[in-house]
Amino acid sequence: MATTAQLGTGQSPRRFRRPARSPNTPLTPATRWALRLTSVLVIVAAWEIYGRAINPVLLSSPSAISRAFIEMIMDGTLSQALAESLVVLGAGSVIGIAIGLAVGLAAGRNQVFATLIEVPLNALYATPSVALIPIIVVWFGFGPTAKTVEVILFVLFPVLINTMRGVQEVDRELVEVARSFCSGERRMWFDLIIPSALPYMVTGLRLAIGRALIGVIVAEFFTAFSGLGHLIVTNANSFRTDRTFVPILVIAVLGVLLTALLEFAERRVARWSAKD
Amino acid sequence: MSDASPKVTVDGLSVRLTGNQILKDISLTVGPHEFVCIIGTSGGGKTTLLRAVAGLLPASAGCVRLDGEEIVAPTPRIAMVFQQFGLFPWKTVRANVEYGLRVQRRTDESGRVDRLLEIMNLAHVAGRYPHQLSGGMKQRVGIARALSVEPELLLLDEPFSAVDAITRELLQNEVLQLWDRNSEMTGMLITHDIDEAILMADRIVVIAGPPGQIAMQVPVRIPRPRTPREVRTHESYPELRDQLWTALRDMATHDLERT
Repeated sequence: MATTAQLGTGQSPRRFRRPARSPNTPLTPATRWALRLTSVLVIVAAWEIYGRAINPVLLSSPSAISRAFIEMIMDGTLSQALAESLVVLGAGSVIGIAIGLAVGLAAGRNQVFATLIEVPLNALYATPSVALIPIIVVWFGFGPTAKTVEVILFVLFPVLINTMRGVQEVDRELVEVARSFCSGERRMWFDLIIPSALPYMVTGLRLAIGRALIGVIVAEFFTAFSGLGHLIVTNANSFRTDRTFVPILVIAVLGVLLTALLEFAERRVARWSAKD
Repeated sequence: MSDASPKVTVDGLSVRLTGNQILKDISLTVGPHEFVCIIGTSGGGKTTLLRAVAGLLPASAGCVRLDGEEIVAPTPRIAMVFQQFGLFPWKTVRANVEYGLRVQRRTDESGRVDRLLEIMNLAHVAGRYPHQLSGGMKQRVGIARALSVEPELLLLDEPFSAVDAITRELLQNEVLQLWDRNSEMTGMLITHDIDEAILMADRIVVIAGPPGQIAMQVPVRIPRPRTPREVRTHESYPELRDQLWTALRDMATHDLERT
């Protein structure tokens, strides 16, 4: 306190604190990759040590999982399950995205249509799609159709709602520009509405792909006797924890790859859409 | 100048938007190749008047005629320059300038787009996107786009209000020169800048509102071609500026008292 004789007269003595740090200066790519690698290695090593020390039913270990992975590739169970899941994922996503885009574009431009679908849309969106699985099984059985329907339900809403918002958020001044130059409705879609809604659509797609993966696995837990989800359930039920982890890790990798792909697409689209 | 039949006739125009009266009984004529500046305080209905002339807004009473023909929808004979430029961010400068011709399904046989890019100093940025340009360059694109469709009537909605003062003066000069070269076009410009109005206009219309009504019309008798310097040193300038300033000041203080 003795050092706080300040210039101020009658002011309470000011205490100097260390100034807040400025936002981090970015790490170099090499450091970044080294840190990422370290975190993965630490997790794998810790898992290996702990997993060997306890009952393999409880946790298993990376080495046991690797052996199970090779086994399951050799006997064809993994590739078959992966193929079954991917077909459902692909078909469900394509159909869901197509419906979502079409309905979203129409609803974004047409207030009557948007108001008509508002209540059922919100109700369906607010209901967890998982809750509908028993009904879907009653309607479509336990086969791949039921799984596909479930994926469609998971994918549809983020695409639809984001697309609709994108069309509604179109710059009003640009609509005036288009009208003042006597643009027809069709040209307006190509010059203005679709390009300006595109970033929203891609965001919808990114959300949808993440949800599609959830949809496929959950549907496989409850319905079809096929796919990666089924592989998880059957192995877990017979306490083969090493074999249970194999499809889980495949799904994790799949999720990371698909999300990275769409984030890349999102950044490319966002480049010109950056408002100044 | 306007002894022949007028190019634009605004006849008892009223506009209502969502129940509010924005314009009330506006009557105004603009002669062929006349340049009229509309000036007034913000919120007085200037922009609404321009949009109604462009056919973008319906009249609730009265009408707007171009060469005696009533305007009920946008027509290719009118082009507009927008306050916030109104450029498509995903189109290049060239594609933005070509936009009007393309939506009107017209071909550019005479190389008009190239010539306009040249005149407006845009040739070297033709491949860039709007977000890479300064405000002044963006508005050059906006002006080039409007001129590309060879409009008979050019509408400018506060075109220089979103650029810095130096760029504004450069752009005013460029539009003045374009004006002197093109004897076919008629112009209407919205502004809240008295000096800009005196510099550009053959006649100044003062709008007071809301609801917008014509408060005053004054001719500007300064010979063309004009430069900002000549206009400012012209003998009629101080009195004209004073007259407009008094009218606008009274409107602004009147607004203050009401609120």
